[in-house]
Order: sequence, then structure tokens, then C-alpha cells
Amino acid sequence: MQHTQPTNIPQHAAPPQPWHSQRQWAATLAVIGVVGLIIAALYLIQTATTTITARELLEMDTYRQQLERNNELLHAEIADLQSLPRVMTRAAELGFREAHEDEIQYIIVEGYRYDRERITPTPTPSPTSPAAVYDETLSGWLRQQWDNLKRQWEAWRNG
Amino acid sequence: MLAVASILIVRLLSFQFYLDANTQRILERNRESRLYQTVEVQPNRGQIYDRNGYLLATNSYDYRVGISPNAVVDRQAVAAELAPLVGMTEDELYRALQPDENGILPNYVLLASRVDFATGQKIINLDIDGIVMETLPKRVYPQGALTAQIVGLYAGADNTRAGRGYYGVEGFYDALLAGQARRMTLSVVPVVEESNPTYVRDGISLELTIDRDLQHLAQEVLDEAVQEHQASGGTIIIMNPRNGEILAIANHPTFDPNNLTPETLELARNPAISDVYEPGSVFKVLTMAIALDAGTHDLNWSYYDPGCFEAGGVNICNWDRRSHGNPDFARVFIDSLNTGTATIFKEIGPYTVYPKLREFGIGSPTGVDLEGEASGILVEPGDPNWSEAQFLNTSYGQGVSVTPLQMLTAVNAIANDGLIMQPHIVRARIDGDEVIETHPSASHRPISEEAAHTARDILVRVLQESDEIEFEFPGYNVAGKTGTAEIPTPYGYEPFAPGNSIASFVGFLPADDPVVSVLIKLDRPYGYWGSKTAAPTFQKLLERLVVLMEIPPDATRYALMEQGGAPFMREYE
Repeated sequence: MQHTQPTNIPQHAAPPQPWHSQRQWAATLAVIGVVGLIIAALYLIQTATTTITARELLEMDTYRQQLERNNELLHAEIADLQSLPRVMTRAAELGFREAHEDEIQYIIVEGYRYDRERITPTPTPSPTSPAAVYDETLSGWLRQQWDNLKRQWEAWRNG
Repeated sequence: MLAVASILIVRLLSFQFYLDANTQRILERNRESRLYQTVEVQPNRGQIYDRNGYLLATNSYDYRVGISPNAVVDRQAVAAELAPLVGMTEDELYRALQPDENGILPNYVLLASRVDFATGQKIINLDIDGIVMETLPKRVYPQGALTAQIVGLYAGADNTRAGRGYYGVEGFYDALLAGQARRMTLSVVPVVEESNPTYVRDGISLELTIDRDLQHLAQEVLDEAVQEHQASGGTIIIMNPRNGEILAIANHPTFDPNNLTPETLELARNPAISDVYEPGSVFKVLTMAIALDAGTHDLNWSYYDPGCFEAGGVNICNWDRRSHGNPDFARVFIDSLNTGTATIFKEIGPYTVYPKLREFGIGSPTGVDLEGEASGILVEPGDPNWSEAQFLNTSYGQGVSVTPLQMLTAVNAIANDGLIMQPHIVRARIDGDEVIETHPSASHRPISEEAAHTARDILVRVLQESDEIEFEFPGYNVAGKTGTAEIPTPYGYEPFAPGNSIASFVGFLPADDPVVSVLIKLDRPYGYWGSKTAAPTFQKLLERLVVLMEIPPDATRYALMEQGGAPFMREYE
């Protein structure tokens, strides 16, 4: 009886070890764990950054509102300082007084152009129809009633 | 251990997937309210300026002050620091920070419903733990009572809700001034983006045609006139008849919009546009213009003046009840003869007169951009209250009611070559960097240019030739007419009773090239007559107005015009 050996099995190959596949699993898990940790860390960093930015934006918005309020208050304060009673009191303190019409002297400067107002642009007003004249006769009264009805109809039609 | 964990997991899964619909809805609603809140961000209300850029209305802020007692560590120290700033005694404030009878500290205690901005800033600077500051917008009117009835007022705002404008410009342009609020649903977790964002659009600012200095002048002259003539009130309106701009509206009495009380609120209406009155002889200006435009009368027309005559069942009398002989057309207006104007109206007839009065804007609002305008009263044929007597009374301004602005707008047609310009008070709208100007527009042409010029010349003669009118203003060509309207009592009219009339004056200058028109109205002056009360007031106003508006005397103006320069032009007919 001739004993034959399989030819496709290398003679130097080590036989499969029983813990080999467990090690592969552990490595895979470890890689997944590390990747997971990295993703979690990145997410945490991103979230933290976004949160900080959002808080900063909120603070900046509040600051902007504060500045706007301060601007408005400064406007009001300037307007108060420019109010006529204050200006007139200050002018009086400085020795100014209101000029009278007969104290004003107009000097005609040679070559000065006295340009008058130019009203522009305005729509051309629609020509006004001449006012209807009705006499005191029956026909006049009838024409007036008819015109009134026409006006009411036009008003109703135009809403 | 495994069994317990399994039970917990199953319970969690059942919560997630097998909850009954009602419970699920309630829980979701709770989640929404805990994780999200809807807030409305209010825009800044637009500001209001006069034509030279002076602020008439702007925004400011107050604070509402509250505190969370459970966040306060040293109550005694906090009470000592805060009490003087919130208007409480130290003891009151200390007690407010104590637990209630059940030993529980409240989450929030209101300390002051409104403190001004400076006080609020002091409180913020104290940096007290638990303090809650809420801003409350408010409107400030730097010119105070001076422009109160023009600008109107703004009320009803708190930290979450916008108020609204009432009366005047604030009321008429409320939607423009208010802007657009922003509603947004915010997550309490800052990383979650807001949903349904809209954008805040601040209100549009307005530049008015009002000149603050002219307004001050008008108010000062009016206040002095009211005091001098012991009147109960009055109005002065100054306009540019060429373009319809309102330069000043002064009323007496007025109110301080920065200090509103129920009593002052009653004065918020602007009598210049809201109150109607019988204009009296000032209305004869329209009678004159209608007669000249209709072609039924000219300068050569004359009539016999009996002093009084009966028509339509009533006695029509001149102011002096005397006959003036055979006055011509101009003399009717120079001497202000009621019999003359009644005769003219009788000759023209109501069916020509009333359509013309409508074209002058009598009986209709002028359409001015101010809230609260009245339309006046014009009783026409067909109305049960109309009668021939009323028609004839209308010729001299009795039996017809107008607002002061209506009256001046109608007279402006004579100053502006027969054309009525749309009266307006907003000169420009300012939306950020964009400025939209209001262009003048013509509303009616009630009379021809020729009729307007003839009427104007007669009005110049009224001031030059009338012996009764106390008015003298040398150097300037001024056109004008006085008016005295009797105020009816429950017992009828009581002529010439002191304090029982409305005295008025309407005029413009320079008559041949007007730049300004004025209406003065004094209510119940002791001096009774417009010629003795309103006319001298007009003179006092003009003496200062020509300086302020730099209107040169006629001689200087003509000399300047001879040197060249563009004449007055309008790009339409």
C-alpha cells in the first residue's frame, strides 16, 4: 500500500493557532475604539468650539445692543444740548440778541444771481373739468340729478 | 444583574417606541417648552428730524429691576446698596429678600417697574448676583412741547411688545417708523440653530418740512398774542404756498410729550387739522376768487349797499350795519362788506359756487400726512339743512366750517397762480443710506392764473387801503385778509360781545412772488375783531419772520432781480 501525501500543503507552514483569530478581533475592536475615541474627541472639540462661539456671539450681540442704546442716548443728549432754550440762554450769556428787521442791511453784490425756487418734478395735474352750471328750471334740476347719479356710479365702480 | 439590566432596557425601549399617543404629545410639548423659547426682537423705531436735522423724536431706554433672592448671599449688604436706587427703604428691600412663610425663597422679586437709564447703569455696575435687568424702550421728544402736536406721541411699549404712535406724524407714519420685529425660536442649547429666522428691520426715519426755529417763533408770537388779547387759545400755520410744505404749526394750549398725564393727553390732538371753526370774513377771499374765475364779476362791477338787507328769511348786515354807498368789486373786500359778498353769491348761483368750493378743498380733508384730520362741513343743495340763507351766509364765512389748514391751503391757490399744492409735512424718508425725498405735487387748479393774480392784487389793497386793519409793514408787498366769526351761543348769535368771536388773519408775502403764507387764528379774544387782534399779531410775526427767513425788502429784491438770476419756475402748468 502506497502512502501519498497531499502536494498543495507547504511543508514549512505552521499549523493555525487557536488564539490567532481572537487576536484579530481584539485588534479590530481596538482600532474601532481608537477611531471612535478620535471621532468623539473631534465632536467634543467641535461642539465646545461652537458653544463658545455661540456664547461669544450672544455676548457680542448684547454688546452691540448696548452700543446702540448708548448711541440713541447720546443722540437724545446732543438734541437736548442743542435745544432752543439752551442755545438762546447761552447766546444771551455771550452777549448776542435777536436782530430786528430794521437793523438788517442788505448789500447788493454786483453780479450776484438771485435764483428763485424751482419746483421740480411734479406730475401735471389732471385738468379740472369746468364746474357744471345748473339753472333753476326743471331741466336743470333733472340734469343735476343725472350728473349726481353718474358721479355716484363712478365712485361705486372705482371702489 | 443581567436580568435587571434587561428589564431597564425593555422599559426604556417601551418609553421610546410604545408610549400612548397622548402621553407622547404631552412629553413632546414639555420638551419643546424646555428646550426652546420663542422671543421677539424689537426693531429700533425710526427717528424724526426737522428740515435742518434737529431731532424731534428719538429713542431711549429705562430698566425694569428684579432680583432672584436665592442667588443673593449677603442680603443685608445688597439691601443697603440697592434700596436708594430702586426707591425702597433698606428694611423693605431686606424683607423682600427673605423666604416666605413656608420657608421658600421666591425665584423672582420685582424691585422697580421702571428706573431711568442712568440709575439702571449704576445698578448694573454694582455687579450684584441675582439681579435681573430688563430694558424698556421709550420715546423721547427733545423739543418737548414745541413740536408736540405735530410729532404726536408713542405709547404702550414694554420689553417684549412694541407700542404704537398716536396723532401727528407718529400716528400717520406708525407702520414706517415701527420697522419689522424679528420672531425667532431659540434653543436653550446654544449649538442648536434657531428655526424660522426672520430679520429685524429698523424703522425708517423721517425728515419733516418743519423748521424748528420758525416753529419756535410762531409759538412765541402765538403765546404772547393769546396773553395780550386774553384769548382762550389759538393757532398759527406757516406754509410755503409754492410747494405745499408746512413750515410751522403752533397751537395754544399744547402739552409736554415727555410728561404724559390723562389731562395732557386731551391736548394731543392738533387743532390746526382736527378742529373746525367758522372762518368768518377770511372766507371772502374764496368768494372773490370764485367770482373772478367764473367771469360773472370783474373790477368794474358795483352794487348799491343798503347796509342790511333781508334774503332767504334772514337779515344780512355789514359788520358796521352802515351803508357804504355804491362800492365796486374791490371795495367789497377792502371794507369787508357782507352785503356785497352775499350779492355776489346771489348773482353767481349755488350750482356754480359749490363745485368751486369743493375744488378749493372745502368740505374734504386736505390729505396732509398727519393723523386725525377733519374734513370740515359744507352743506350743499340737496341737504335737508341747506337753505338760501345759509348759502348767502357762506359768502362771508358763516354757516360753513373749515380747519385752519384747509383755509390756508385754499388761500394758497391765490398765492400760487391758481394752483393748490398738496400740503405735506414729511420732506424725506431716510432708510439707512437711502434718502427718498417727497416731491411737491399739485392737487387742484380751482381758478385760472389770471383770476388768481387779480385776487392777489385786491388782497394787497385790503392791507394798504383798509382803515380798520391794524397792520403796517413798510418795505414789503403783503397780501392778506382779516376775519371775525361770531361764535353762536345756545341763545343764537350775540354780536360784538367781547370774547365771543374767532378772530383770524390769512396772508402771504412777497405778494408778487410769495415764499411764505400764514394763517393766524385767535379763539375768543377780548378785542373781538380780527383786524384789531389777529392782524397786529401777523405784523409782529412778520417783523421777525423776514429776518429768520432772510426775505429781503421789495426794493432790494427788485434790484437783485435786475442783476439776473433764474425766476421762479415750475415744470408743469
